[in-house]
Amino acid sequence: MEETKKKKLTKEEAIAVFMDIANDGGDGALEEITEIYVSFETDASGRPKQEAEVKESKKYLLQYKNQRAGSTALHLAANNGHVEVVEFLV
Amino acid sequence: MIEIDFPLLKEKLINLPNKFKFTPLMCVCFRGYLTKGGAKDAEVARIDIVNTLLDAGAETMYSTPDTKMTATHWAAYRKDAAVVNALLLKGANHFHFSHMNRLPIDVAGSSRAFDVVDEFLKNYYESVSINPNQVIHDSLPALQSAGNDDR
Repeated sequence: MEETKKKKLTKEEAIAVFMDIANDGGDGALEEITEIYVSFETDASGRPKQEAEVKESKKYLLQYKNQRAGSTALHLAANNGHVEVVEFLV
Repeated sequence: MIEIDFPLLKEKLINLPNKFKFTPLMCVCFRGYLTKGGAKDAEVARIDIVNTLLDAGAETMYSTPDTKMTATHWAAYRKDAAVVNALLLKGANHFHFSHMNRLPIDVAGSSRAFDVVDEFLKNYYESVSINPNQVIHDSLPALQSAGNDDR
């Protein structure tokens, strides 16, 4: 049986997906957003990053502001009423 | 996540203004619904998000520099009595004037949200009953500066 392996997103792709999920919510949003957040603990080849590096990249993700409104993921989730995402982020 | 992973950054992240100077709390009070859902579907989610943000330390006194509107003004504008109540219980100011010299209760009145007006009056009455001097003392600076404006 052919094994399907999920391709690891680049940092920029992961941030874009993270922001999209915060904005759109929907079924499975919490799982997806958790998966992306956790993926920041490993590098492109799947190896665990140093603790300081993990902190730095997660901080960057949470502070990332979109171009249109300068909004973070928390702004987007709050603005669009996605309770589960807000609770996860906070 | 912010609370667990970045406790020192929590206050900053929770109260970070965006390009329009809106904090997440202000975003949810101003809107709090996805366009395809619509405003009528927002109330349950809105109060849950507001409580989550308030518990995490969201600032109720913050107002945008241009309109001077607080989250309470926006909740009143949205006719959301539950959110107004939650904000007032967390110490939101009754006497913060917007750039149009409107108090949050004025906004509720002009939005014809009479249940929200009742919420303001009830909360104010309760706070005066508990500690009359404190409430009057807290409201004086705002009322005095509003009195100096040409209204």
